[in-house]
Amino acid sequence: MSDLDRDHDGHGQPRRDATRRVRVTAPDHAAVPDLGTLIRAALSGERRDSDEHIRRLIRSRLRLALSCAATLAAVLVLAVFTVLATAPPRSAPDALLRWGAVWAAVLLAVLGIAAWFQARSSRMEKTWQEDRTAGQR
Amino acid sequence: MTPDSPVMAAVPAIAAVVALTLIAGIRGLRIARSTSDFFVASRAVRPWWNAAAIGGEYLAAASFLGVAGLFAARGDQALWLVIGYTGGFVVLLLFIAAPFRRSNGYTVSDFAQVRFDSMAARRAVSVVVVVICGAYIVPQLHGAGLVATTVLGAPRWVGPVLVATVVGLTMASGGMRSATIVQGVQYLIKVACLLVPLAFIVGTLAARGFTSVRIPTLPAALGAGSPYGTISLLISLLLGAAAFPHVLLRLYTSPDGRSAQRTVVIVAALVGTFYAIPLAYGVIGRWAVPQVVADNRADSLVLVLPYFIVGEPFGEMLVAMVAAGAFGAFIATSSGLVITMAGVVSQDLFGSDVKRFRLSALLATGLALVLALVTDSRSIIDTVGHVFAFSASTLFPVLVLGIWWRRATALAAVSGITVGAILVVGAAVAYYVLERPVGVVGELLAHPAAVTVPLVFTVVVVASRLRPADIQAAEQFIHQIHRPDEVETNFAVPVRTRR
Repeated sequence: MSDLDRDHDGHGQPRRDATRRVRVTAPDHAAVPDLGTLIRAALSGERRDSDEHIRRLIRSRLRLALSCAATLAAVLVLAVFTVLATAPPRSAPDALLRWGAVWAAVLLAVLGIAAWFQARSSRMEKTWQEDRTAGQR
Repeated sequence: MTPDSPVMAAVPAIAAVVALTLIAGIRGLRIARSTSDFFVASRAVRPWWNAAAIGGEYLAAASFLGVAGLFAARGDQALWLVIGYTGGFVVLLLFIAAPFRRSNGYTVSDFAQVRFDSMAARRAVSVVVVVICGAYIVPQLHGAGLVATTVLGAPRWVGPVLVATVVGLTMASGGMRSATIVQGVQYLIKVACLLVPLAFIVGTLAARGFTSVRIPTLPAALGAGSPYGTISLLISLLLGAAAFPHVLLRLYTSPDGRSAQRTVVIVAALVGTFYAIPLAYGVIGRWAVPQVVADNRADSLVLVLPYFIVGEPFGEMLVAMVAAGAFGAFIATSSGLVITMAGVVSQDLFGSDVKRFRLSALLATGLALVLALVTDSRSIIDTVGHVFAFSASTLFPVLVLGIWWRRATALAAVSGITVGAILVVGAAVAYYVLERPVGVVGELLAHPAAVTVPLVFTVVVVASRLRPADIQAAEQFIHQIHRPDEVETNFAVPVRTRR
């Protein structure tokens, strides 16, 4: 159970001395505190003061996620309808042309939705942070 | 249809991939210093490398071999498959990635235990994780057997034994540090090993004026699936991929929630663009060597295509290259699955010290190997289809409701997981026992997700409403995991609770 290095509380940077082999730290059962206690302790205190604030952020983010999911679903339904409603391709090159086009369009939509969500989500967090800081002053 | 004789050039190519894996694994072992290193690579993996590692483990046998074969044999199903595989990362990004990472656990089971404050929920999730990983690793080993017989002319067991040995040794020695390096490297190997032969194939066909090289024995006509089957398949892929435990585990290696989000966006791009390659193999294969499809050997299409089109002297080398890439795919995916299973098994069965973690990794690998050797090698795609449906019907509803709905209770989570597991396993067993029936029953059994996923969501919601629990702790937990990274404090989950 012992180690040549400390565990850094599980968050430290490993020493880059790769010339010697080191035993990996084992978590000590007896030393591990109860999860619930630890989390309740971490969640208490100053965090409670902004409950309503964080609820607003969660609701905004959920709305954003649901609208992105709805867009994705619409794109996929359109793709399914396009493929199933038309006659099957006559040959492999025909399949490549038609299904390749569907694939490329869906991929672009997927990546667009992902990028849009990430950008919006980051901006939302930044705004939330600014509001929170202003509220604390 | 196989090459006329074993492709001996594949032996050094596969040996090179194995050697590279072992070197990467040893590198991981040498820099693994702490518990956090071993379980989550100290949460220090940057987005691009983490994305490559996820790509390495996600693009498994089904992607490397199955997609091309499916596209050549069954038409549009492959299209939905690659769309679902890629779109699943958007679902992961929207509903799970950042909050899940901010829960600071070490395994998916940690998340369940902390969120629901329940050992029962933890154990239910642990069982599901082991089932998903176990069921998903067997097709990887079957894929290795396919490569061994098709390319090397060796007995089928050689492939699974080789992959299991490399994975077991590497993961038991270096943990997540090794897995990260191995999987990132394997992604690059996989892309190169498919792209280079494809360039030769297209070049050769262009030089011949795009004429077919064999007298075609036409396979069945390309067709389209039913609307129900297609939509249900998409649901299982989109939601199943978003809740795959080995992908979720990799999110814990990101430094924070925002990095996890960025990682998922990059993975979607890497995985999405990768699928253009097997799709091209499938189309070219159906057109140029349709006998392979007609002989019901579509899964081996990627392996034999360079041999039949390019011919001597380069054909054999290119087949060797594809075989090496396939082994890379099996090793990378199996590594992720073994490390995920080992984390859960060691924490829930044996205890969390490193010696037991290593024992768990070897046990998980050994068990998967035995299963692969005693089971029939079904179509790779059919097998993984049910695994995705299982993931979508068990973990996904519990994760999403656990992250977003404060009233979801432990009892409801366990009930939902139980109902989802019974329904999907029942459908899969019936599907194979009835020898893949057709018609409405066949569609329901082959693609159960459109029924099971809404049902499990309903079960969790109704059970939570019928037997409400104190929501204060759950609400605080949800608030915590939705906070931006900048306001995160020293919220850390230890490896395992005290019993």
